[in-house]
Amino acid sequence: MKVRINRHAMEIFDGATVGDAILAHSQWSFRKMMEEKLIPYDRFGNVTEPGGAISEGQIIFLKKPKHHV
Amino acid sequence: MSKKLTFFFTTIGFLFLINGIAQTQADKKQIEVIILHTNDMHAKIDNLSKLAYLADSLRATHPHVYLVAAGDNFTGNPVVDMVDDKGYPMIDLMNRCKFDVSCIGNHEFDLGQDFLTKRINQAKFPFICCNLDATGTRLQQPLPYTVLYVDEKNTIALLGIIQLDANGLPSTHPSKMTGISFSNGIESAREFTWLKDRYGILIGLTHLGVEEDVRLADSMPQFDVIMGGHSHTLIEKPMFRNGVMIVQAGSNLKYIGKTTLLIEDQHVVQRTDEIIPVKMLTSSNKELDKLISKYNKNTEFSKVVGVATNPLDGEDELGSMMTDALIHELKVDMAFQNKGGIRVQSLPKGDITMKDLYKLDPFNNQVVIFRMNPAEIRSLICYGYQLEKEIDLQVSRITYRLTDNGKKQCKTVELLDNSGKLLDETKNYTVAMNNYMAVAYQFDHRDPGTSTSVTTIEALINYLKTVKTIDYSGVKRAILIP
Repeated sequence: MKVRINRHAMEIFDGATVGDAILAHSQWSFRKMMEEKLIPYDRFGNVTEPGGAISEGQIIFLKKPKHHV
Repeated sequence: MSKKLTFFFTTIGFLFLINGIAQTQADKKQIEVIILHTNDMHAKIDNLSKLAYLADSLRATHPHVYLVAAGDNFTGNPVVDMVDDKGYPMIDLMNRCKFDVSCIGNHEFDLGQDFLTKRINQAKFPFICCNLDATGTRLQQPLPYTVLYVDEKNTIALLGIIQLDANGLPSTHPSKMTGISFSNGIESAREFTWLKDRYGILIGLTHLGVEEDVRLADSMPQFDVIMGGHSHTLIEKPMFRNGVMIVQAGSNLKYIGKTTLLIEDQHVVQRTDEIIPVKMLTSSNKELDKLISKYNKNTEFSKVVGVATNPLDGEDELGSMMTDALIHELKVDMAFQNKGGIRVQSLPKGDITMKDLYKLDPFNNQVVIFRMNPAEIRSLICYGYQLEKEIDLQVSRITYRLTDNGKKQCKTVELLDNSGKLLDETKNYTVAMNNYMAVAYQFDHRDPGTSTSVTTIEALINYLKTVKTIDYSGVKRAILIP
């Protein structure tokens, strides 16, 4: 399936998680995500946890953390 | 008519009018309903005692409190998933928390149809799903919806919907869903719009992911609320789409969602949602704490699952066993295991426990299958070799001989089947590997791959339980030719 991390379009296996897609995007980004220095957000601005399913055409924005609950 | 009589009838009429207004006002009284919602708990049992305490505290002060789960209650914690009676600890604890309903998520099927049916029967709450037909299978047909009876006048219908992948099945291994047919979630849900007319208030308890929840809201404004799961999305402020409120509470029971509905005359007049971080809750149900502690000390992890007639030393022997397990579980043409995923140096001769296997393979990686030709398989092997500057990938069902070009890069790679013949260069083979390799390794592949939702550790445990005795002494399938 085709997904995007920030501006980077990629094809990834069906059934992949947000974490898989970020690792495919870049190992550096994946490490920063695990350290919670970068947070994945969906197109609505919600935090998407790394274990969550990613779906065809989805865009994930990796950003510095905002204040969260 | 005399003045007295006129006065009498006027007074009676007035009293009836007053009574009628009072009755209407009584009918129109506002009722507060609290729905605690979780999703994607993934068998993370530790916080259930806090959830139970919170729910009980609210029930003590509010007459209308409900507790719901939006699917994927199982898979993600070995003390629930890998015990002989798979999934039981989770259902036991959910019963004690007094859940009112759960949607079926894709990972519910990981248990297999027999275990899932057993769990559904043990649950003191219904599992709902409107887009699956289990007729003629071993799975008990779930109800499409359930109804919460708030009082004699107000009712809330909850409709369950499960996600489907591009192959038309939920994300789990297809073998777990043999015979069950699934239909498009949104189209199926539209057949239940009458629930809104009949019950007044309609909630979607979905396991679709937030992107699909938005499409569902666009398609069905009849929903008052969609309580979702699957995408592990933390919706801190509820989303409103086409008049529908969409909520979701992350995953692994780190958060609890609390939706408050103000109901008047069978309609929602006000909706709010807040996210409660579980770490902020300081009190827990002590009885559940004890039970959770008992489940966490599960002695099944010390049980012997197989016996090694000789020690398994080094990556060749351990990796060969791990890849044989993938072949056994998934019936693919070949399987690979990277060196970095083999976390112990050896396993001693004798009994192998489940705990030993978790030390060997602790990452809970999922298995991904690709269709690849020999040229693509060589590119995978060569990427691993360049990465590690030595043989990286262990393999099952084939052997390979690699020569170096003097720069720690592949010069040639010969791929041989078990009879020693070279692989057919024109053929595509099914190749299994863990999800880390599938995304972190840069190799040629036209097929983007498909997740099996089977974990490598699950395959390993099942393999040893089946073969019982193993001997990998001297096994070497990946050879570097100097």
